[in-house]
Amino acid sequence: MADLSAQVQEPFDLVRLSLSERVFVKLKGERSLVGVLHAYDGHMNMIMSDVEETILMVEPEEEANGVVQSVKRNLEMLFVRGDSVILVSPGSR
Amino acid sequence: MASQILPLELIDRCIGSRIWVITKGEREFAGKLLGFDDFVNMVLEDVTEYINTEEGVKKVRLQQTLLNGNNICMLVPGSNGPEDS
Repeated sequence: MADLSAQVQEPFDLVRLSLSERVFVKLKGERSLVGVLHAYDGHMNMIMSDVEETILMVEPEEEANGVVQSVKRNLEMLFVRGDSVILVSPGSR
Repeated sequence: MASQILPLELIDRCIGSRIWVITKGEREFAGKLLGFDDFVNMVLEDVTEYINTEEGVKKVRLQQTLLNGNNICMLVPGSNGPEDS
C-alpha cells in the first residue's frame, strides 16, 4: 500500500487497480456484493463475476430486539448499474 | 486492459437471450432482452415479474414490457431468474 499514492491520482484509478481482483461493493437498498471486478465505465456501471450478493433486513422488535438478518445468493456473472453504487472497496471483507 | 469489455457491451451481447433484471426495490424481472438504450431502459418480452413481499414471492406474467432504467440495479445475462438452478 506504500506506493498507492504514486499510482492513484484520481478516484477511478483505484477502481482501475482493482480490475480482476475481488472487490466489495455497497449498493443502495441495503445490498452489498463481493466478487471479481472485470470491467467498469464512467457511470460506475460494472461487470463482476463469481459474486455473492447480501441483502440486509432489520426485523424491529421481533425476536431478540432488532435482529439483523441477511439473505445471500450467488451469481456467476452480472452487470451492475452505476447509479446504485455507493462505494467500491478493493479486497473482499 | 486493451481487450477489456465495456459493461454496456456485455448487455448488448445478451440481446436475444434471457436476462434477469434485479431492481433497487423488491422486484425482479426475467425475460428475453429485445433491446436497451443509453439510460439502460430495457425492452423485454415474455416476462415474469417477481415481487418480494413479506408473505412470499408474487409472480406476474407480462408480455412486451418497457422497463424504466431508473430503478434497475443489476442485470444477469443468460439467466432465467431467481428460480433458475
